[in-house]
Order: sequence, then C-alpha cells, then structure tokens
Amino acid sequence: MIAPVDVWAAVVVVASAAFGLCAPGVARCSPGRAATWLLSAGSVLVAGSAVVVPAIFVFVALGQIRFFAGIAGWSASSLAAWFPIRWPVAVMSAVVLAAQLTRSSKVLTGRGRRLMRAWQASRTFDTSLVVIPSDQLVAFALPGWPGRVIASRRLLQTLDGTERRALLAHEQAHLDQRHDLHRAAAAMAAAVNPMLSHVPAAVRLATERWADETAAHAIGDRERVAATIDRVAATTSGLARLSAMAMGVGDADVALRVAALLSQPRHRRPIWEALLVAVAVLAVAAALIGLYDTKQVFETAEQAYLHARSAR
Amino acid sequence: MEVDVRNQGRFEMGAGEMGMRRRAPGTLEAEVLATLWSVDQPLSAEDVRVRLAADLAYTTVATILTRLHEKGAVNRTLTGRVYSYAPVLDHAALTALRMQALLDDESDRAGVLNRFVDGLDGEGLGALREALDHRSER
Ligand SMILES: [Zn+2]
Repeated sequence: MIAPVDVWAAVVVVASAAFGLCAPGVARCSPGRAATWLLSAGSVLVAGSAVVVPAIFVFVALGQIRFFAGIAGWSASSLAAWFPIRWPVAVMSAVVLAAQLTRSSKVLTGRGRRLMRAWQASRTFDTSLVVIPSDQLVAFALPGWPGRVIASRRLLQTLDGTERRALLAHEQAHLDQRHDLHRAAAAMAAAVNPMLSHVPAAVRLATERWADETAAHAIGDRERVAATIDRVAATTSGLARLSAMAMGVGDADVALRVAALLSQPRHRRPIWEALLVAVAVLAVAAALIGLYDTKQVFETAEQAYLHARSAR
Repeated sequence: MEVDVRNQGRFEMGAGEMGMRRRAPGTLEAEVLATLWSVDQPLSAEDVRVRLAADLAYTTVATILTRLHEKGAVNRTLTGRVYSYAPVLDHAALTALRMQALLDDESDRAGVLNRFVDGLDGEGLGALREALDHRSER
C-alpha cells in the first residue's frame, strides 16, 4: 500500500473543508471567468473524491463477508488483514453513501426539472429578447440552446440606451458562457459533499462578476455598468420592500459586484487560486491513491484465495 | 434562425464602424427590440438608430428590423415614405411570464435563472452607495 487507509481518507476530508473555505475568497478576488471555472470544475473533482472514499469502505467491508468473498473468489481473511475495517466505520460509510445518493437525486429532480423547463421554453422563442408586459423591474437569462433574455417592459422604459445595452450584454453573457451549467455542477457537488455548501453561492457571485465584466467590456465603460446595477438594485429593492418579499441570499453580492467594477483591476498574487487548486489536486490524488491501494489489496486477496484452493 | 443571428454579427463586423466593440451574436437584435419596447410610439429605422447607444449604420438597423418583421416580432406601418415599427405582444410573453414564476419559486432562489440584481436590503444598499460615493469623490 502507498499510504495507510486513514491517511488518504483524512486528506480527502481536510481538502474538502479547505476547498469550501477558499471558495468565497476566490469568488470575490479572482477575475470572473477564472473564478467560475476554478470553482465549478474544482468542486466537481473534490465531490467525486468524497464519493470514492465511502464507496471503497463499503465495498471492502462487503468483500470481507465470507459469503461474498467465496462468490467473488478472494480471501476474506487476507482482505481483512491488509485492509482492516471496523464495522462502525463500514456502517457510517454506507450511511454517507446513501445520503449522497438521495441528496444528489433530489437536486437532479428539483433543479434538473426546472432547468429542463427553461430549456424547453427557450426553444419556443423566435427572438433573442422576449419582453414581459409587467410593471415589475425584472430581467433574467433563460438558459437553453439558444438561451433567451427576458426583460419587463417597465425596466426597458426605465433605463437609457447605454444602460439597456449594459443589461442585455450582462444577460447575454450568462447565456453565451453557459453559467447555468457551471451553477448546476456546483449544486450537484454541494449535494454530494456538505463541506462544499458555500460553493454554489460562490459560483453564483463568480458568474455574476463574469457577466458584469463582459458587459463592461462590451460597452467599454465599467462605471456605467456599475451605475446600472446600482440603479436597478435601488429601484427593485424599494419595490421588494413594498411587497414585503423575502430577500434573496445574494444581497451583499450586488455591493461586491459594484465595488469590483469600480476598483481598477490591479496585479496581485493569486493566493486564493493557488490554495484552491492545491487542495483540489490533493483531494483527487488521495482518492486515486485510495483506488490504487484498494486494487492492490484485492489482487493480494485473490492470490491468497487461489493459493489456499490449490493447497487443498 | 441560428444563421440569421450569425449573419447579424458578421454584418456588424463587416461594416467596420469605428469605436464598435465586438458583440455577442443576438445582442444586436435584442438591442433593437429593447429600443422599440422602451417607448410608447412606433419608431422608424432612423429613430431606432438614433436611440441605440451605439454607432450603427442605418442599413444594419433596417436589416434587423426587416428580420424582426419576418419573424412576426414587430408590426410595421407605412407612415409617409418610411416604415414605422412597433413591438408585438404575443404568446411568447405568456411563456416568459411562466418562466418568471419559475424564477420566483421559493425553492429556487439561488437558481437556475440569473437575475440582473436581487433585492437589496438596507445594509447592502448602504455599502453600494458608499462604494459609488467614494468613487465620485476622487
Ligand atoms: Zn446576472
């Protein structure tokens, strides 16, 4: 074995926790595109590692039951000698695995179904912008192939020409850069691994910042984009307060986005990014070592089984 | 329809207008539609061109308007010697409203759809104002 069982299992747990801790920092500090990709791809890798560990434990524990070992053709005692698992650990792993399965299938049916409905609806539209005859100030990106921008008439009347372009460029960026898929990946990762529970919010902020930056580039004026976000935020929050709507989780995000647009992009050391990549690599490496070690242990157990049979 | 959108992009680039930045495909059509929706009266192609906060050639705007008319997204009437265009409210708006309900679904606040901004609370708004004020001081 390359490393003792508890070492690589512990590494995956610690790396998951560290990834969850670094995620908000990356979402705030990194450029939107880099932050989005690092967080969504990284969280999927870390979540994958977090599935591999309990899966190995359950598989090995089952393999040590003589009945299964006899059918599969390996030595249960050899397996138990090389890969000892106490039964509380085995039971806990099975519980974790079951929880991961139910939580991820819940996300798949809930969020996945809504995403499908959005994709279906966007197919029925002929134009890249669809206007709602509403007095609310609302605009959103409806994902699909191709996705569509939806905006209320009231909002389009409230904004001036440049602000309308900023708004449309921002929403179109969500569609072109497939932010729906990045967010879905992060949601699945968080469902599988609760230590990544802050990652979806981080990806949300990162994609908003990426869209802001794209809009700023399109109209060539960061301050105008910041001012547009401010204006829409100020007006919608007034309306929201009137109708006593529950406030979204991402409230503080708008202030962060405006601040990010107004601050000059300056050169800084990518510390958060380096940390994030390091812990993701660590988690994947630990899971791979775990898989390799397990394979070795089973090969040894198979040989022991064959040896015992030929000796008889 | 895919091809339409691409063509618009190429048209825009081919026109080689100064100060133009690269746009995502489909954005130009959206901008023209948004302009028509932002006012209460029908607009001619020239009216739209003036209101668009971008340096676009008249022919570019006219081409987009013609395509929008072919799609049934706008009505046009002959006023004098030029067409005036007005946006059409059709069943697409109903579907869009249903999608807004999807957005407002309590269980999907952090969601599938991306809003331009979420509602801000007092604290968030204060921080926002501060950032903007701080900026204008300098
Ligand atoms: Zn957005």
